Amino acid sequence: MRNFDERKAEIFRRSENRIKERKRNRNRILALCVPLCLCIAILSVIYLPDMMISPDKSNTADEMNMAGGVENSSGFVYTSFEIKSTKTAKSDTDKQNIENIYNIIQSAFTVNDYSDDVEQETTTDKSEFPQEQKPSTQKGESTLKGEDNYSTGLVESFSKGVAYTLTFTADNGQKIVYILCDNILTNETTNESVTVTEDQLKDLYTKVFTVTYGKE
Amino acid sequence: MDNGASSYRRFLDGDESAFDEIMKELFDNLVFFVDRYVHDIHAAEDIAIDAFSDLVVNKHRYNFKVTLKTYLFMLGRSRALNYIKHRKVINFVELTEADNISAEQETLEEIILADERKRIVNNALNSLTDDMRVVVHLIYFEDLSYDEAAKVMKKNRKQVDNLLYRAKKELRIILGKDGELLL
Repeated sequence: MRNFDERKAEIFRRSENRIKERKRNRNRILALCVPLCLCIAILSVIYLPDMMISPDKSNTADEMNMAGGVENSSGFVYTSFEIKSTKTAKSDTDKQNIENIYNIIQSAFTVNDYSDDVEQETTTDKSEFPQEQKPSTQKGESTLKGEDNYSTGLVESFSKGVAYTLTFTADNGQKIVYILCDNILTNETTNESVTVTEDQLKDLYTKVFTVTYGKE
Repeated sequence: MDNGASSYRRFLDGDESAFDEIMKELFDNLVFFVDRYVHDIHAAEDIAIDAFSDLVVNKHRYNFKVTLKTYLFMLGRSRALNYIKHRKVINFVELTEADNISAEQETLEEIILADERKRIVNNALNSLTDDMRVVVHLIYFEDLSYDEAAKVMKKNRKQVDNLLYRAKKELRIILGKDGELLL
């Protein structure tokens, strides 16, 4: 067995070794953790803004929302769409379709921005639309588009002189109503009117009538 | 002296000589106690050195809620059990060396067990179970209280009571009526 001094020396020698070992382990961990934290920080800076933006995008009314549908200004989603005319009425609850219809209407207002007194202007545009030449469509008959503007083989088109009421209803009961007469689209709430272009009308018709009407 | 607590405080404040006092007071006792577990005097010394080195490395782990002796014995016990757990090889020694080992053990016993009565009891302890042997050692040889012994052995007071009662009963049988008086 060791004597007193040997024991004491051994105690302090082992203590020093343990302290050195502890410092070495601490440095090793730091050497590992600091680059790791740095990588995480860099990745967050790169990817986090994109991740933050995407949820925000889905909340704005004019962004495409594949899952949830389009929202009104209060943040409620439009859950139903209805189109009425003197002859017929149809409704749709497919959120994707409602969103598509809504986006076409919004794009019409965004791109074709006219004042309230747009009727005089639009009378000149009427001649561009084939429905002027097809009064029989008012009765809901199928009409093949032999006209220039409708070459897609659609069964029907918007009837001339017929006012279509397009109503979007949100899940909180809030409604927004548009009136489409010939190629004039009017927002009943804001009294804003625009002339819908041929392409927009075509798109709108496709989305509204092909899905909701089927064959008439 | 409060079993080393005040010396340890002085050591923490920077007084190196206080550590010598602690060593002189407690080292041999710790070795003797650890030897109860490992039955190898050199290993017991090694373990005692490690336990003391814990006092130096982890200076602020001892919270002065128990006596320094109790704390050191707790450290020694856990290291001894760890040693037993990891001991894989039984060391065979030359007979001549074995004589030296037992001689050293006897020397340590002589130091610790200056009291003849304690020596008689110590010899009888070998027939007891480990726990009984340890509890008798702590209470009888190291003069720890029941609570302190319970802390060292990581048992509750009731368990220590029971162990001691059973140990005394066994020793009564081994040592006879006269031996009972030694306890």
